[in-house]
Amino acid sequence: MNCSEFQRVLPEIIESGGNQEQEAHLANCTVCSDLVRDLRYIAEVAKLLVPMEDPDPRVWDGIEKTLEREGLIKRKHMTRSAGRMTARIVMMVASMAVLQCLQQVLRA
Amino acid sequence: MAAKTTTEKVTASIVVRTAKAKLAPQKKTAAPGLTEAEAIQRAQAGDAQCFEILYGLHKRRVYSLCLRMTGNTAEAEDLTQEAFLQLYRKIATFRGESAFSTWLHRLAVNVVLMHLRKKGLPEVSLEETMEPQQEDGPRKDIGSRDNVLAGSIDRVNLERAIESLPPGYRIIFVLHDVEGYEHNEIAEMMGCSIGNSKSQLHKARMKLRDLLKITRAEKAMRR
Repeated sequence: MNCSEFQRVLPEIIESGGNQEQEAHLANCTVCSDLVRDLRYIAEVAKLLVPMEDPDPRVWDGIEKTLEREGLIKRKHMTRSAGRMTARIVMMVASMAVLQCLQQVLRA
Repeated sequence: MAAKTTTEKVTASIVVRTAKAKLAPQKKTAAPGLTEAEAIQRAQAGDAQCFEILYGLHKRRVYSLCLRMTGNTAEAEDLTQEAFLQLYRKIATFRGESAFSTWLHRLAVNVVLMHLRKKGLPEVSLEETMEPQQEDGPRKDIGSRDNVLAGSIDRVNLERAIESLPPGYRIIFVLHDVEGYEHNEIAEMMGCSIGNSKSQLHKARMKLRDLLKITRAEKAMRR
């Protein structure tokens, strides 16, 4: 078996090992044994790659906005602005009540 | 905001460190007093806060997958967003037949593949790699021991090399060697034959070997 023949069946050899003839070539050929070692090493190192990066916060913002737009979740900013509006109305009503009381006191 | 911080901490604590752990089902803690399973149940019932917790737990892995498969930050962000939007819409259909992370991961892979199909990239590359190429011939490099890569690859170099692979090679390599999918699963997802998947993977590894050797030679020249 020569290098060309060996490398033609290399994917199978890497995955499930070689037959006697292929193993014999591997034992005697530095080029092919280095190649097999490298390919196996690359596959091993790749298995150890772990997720390293978090997505930018704008990804979550985009998800939230889309879900809000589709009406699937409540609109947080709307809720907040509605709350602020309610507080303003309460303040205005309270102020008017205080003014009325003051006017009545002054008239008396 | 406090809940988000907790989620971040929990996410950091459950980052998968090894390939085995990457695939093994885990009992995760989503937030104090709430397991991942409970968060899933509540999210299925429409609890948006629990959905946010699930996002916190899985965003890193989904984003990394998208980034490795596309090699492009902007695309990876868009696809991460799309994957989680699909998750929100489909989470009620999760029946727990597989681990949630496996289910979500498959969903994310499909989102990326759908996107790449629309762009037409993998199909072109798949066809290209079916053509006989010069690469298919025997390696002529003389095998001195200095030529062996073993022990010389670091994570950053490998990530960069993966990024510069042609899209067709990159996708198969990421799915098989990084994410641990089997050839039959890849063939099903990609709509190609198992033989094609194997052939692509082999060529991807060969290309990576060349890229990593070039990187190493350039480093040596700089010294």
